[in-house]
Amino acid sequence: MVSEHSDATGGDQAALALKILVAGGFGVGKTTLVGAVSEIRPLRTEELLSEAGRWMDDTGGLDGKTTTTVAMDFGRITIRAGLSLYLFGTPGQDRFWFLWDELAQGALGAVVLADTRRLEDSFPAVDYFEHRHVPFVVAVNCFAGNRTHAAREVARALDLDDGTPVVLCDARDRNSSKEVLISLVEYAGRMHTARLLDSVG
Amino acid sequence: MTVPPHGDPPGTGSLRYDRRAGPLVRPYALTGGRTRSGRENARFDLIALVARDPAALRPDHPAIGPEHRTLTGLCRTGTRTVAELAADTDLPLGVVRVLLGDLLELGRVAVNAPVQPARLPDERILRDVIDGLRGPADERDPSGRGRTGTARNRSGATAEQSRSARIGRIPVRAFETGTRLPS
Repeated sequence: MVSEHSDATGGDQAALALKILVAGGFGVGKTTLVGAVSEIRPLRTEELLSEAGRWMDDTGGLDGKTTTTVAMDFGRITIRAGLSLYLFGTPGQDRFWFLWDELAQGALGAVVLADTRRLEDSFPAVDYFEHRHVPFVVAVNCFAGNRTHAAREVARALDLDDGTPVVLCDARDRNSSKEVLISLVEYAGRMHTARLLDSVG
Repeated sequence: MTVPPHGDPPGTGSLRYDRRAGPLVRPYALTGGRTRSGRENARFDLIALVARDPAALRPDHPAIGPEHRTLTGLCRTGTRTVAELAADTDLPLGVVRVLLGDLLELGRVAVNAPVQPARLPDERILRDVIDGLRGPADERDPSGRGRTGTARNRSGATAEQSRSARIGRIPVRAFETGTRLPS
C-alpha cells in the first residue's frame, strides 16, 4: 500500500485533482461555503487583468492603462492520498466571464448558491452552466431566520431543467455544505453515465 | 491605487509588500515583462499537479531566479497544484504560470494536466469522493482558524495539512501601471 508520502514521488499516475465551482451572486455565501468544508483556510489566488477585462498579452502595451486584479477563493478537501477535491469560488462580476471559462474547463460540476431574497442574482450562473452543460446543483442558502422556500418553488422560479437538484443548506455548517457537495457529485455521476449511454446508443 | 476591502492585511511578511508603500516589486517584473509562458500551449490549469523533477537538484541554470527556487522548494514535500503554488508564493497566477513554464522548459518540474471528468475511467472515483465527503464526522475547529496540523481522519491527510496550516493568504492587489517593464 502507498505511504502517506507517496504523492511526493512526483508524476504519480494515481494522483488526481478534481475541481468543483461555487458560483452565485455577491454576498450569497460562496466563500463561507468553501471555508466550511475546506481543510485549509480559503486561499486566494489572483490574476492580473487589463481594464478591458482581457488577459494581458504583454505588459509592454500597458503604458498608462489601469490594470486590476481579480481574486479567486479556493479550498481543498483531501479525499485520500492522491485524490483531492478543489473548490473554487467564482469571481462575482459579470465582466469576468472569461475567467469562468477557465474555471469551468474540466470541472466536475458546480454549486450555484442562491438566496431566495435575491434569487435573480443566481440567474447568470444558472444560464452559464446550463449552456455549457456543466452539471450543477442549486443550493439555497438558508440564513438564520430566513423564510425557507420549498425546493420545488425555487426550481420553478429558476426554470431549471427537470432533474437539476435543488437542495437547502446552511453554508456556515460543514456537514450541511458537505451534503451539497455530495448531491452534486452524485448528480454529476448520473449525468456522466447518461452521456455514456447516449454515446453508445 | 485602490486596495479592495479584504480581511487580512495583504501579504504580511512578504518581502514584496510594504505595509505603507504597497507592492515593492511589480509582479510581472519577476518575469521580465512576460505574461505568457514560453512553452507553446503550456497553459497550466489551476489544478494541474506540479512535481519537482529530480533534476531540480542540479546546479542552478542562469535563468533560475529566487522565485523559481521558491516554486521548486514548495514542491519538495509533494505535488502541488498551480493554484496552491500561486497562493503560497504570494504571486499572481499569471506570474506563476510564466515561471512554471521556465521550469518545465529547463526540466526542473513535471506537470500533470488534470484528468477531464468526461474521461474519468470509472465511477469508482466519484464513489470514493462521496465516501470521503461522508467520512467520519471530524472534530475540526469550526472557526477554521488557529489550527495546527493535528492528526485527522483520512490517510495521508496529516502531513499535508500540517503544511497547509502554514499557508498564508494572498493579498488582492489593484494598481496602476505607469512604467514600461523591461522586455
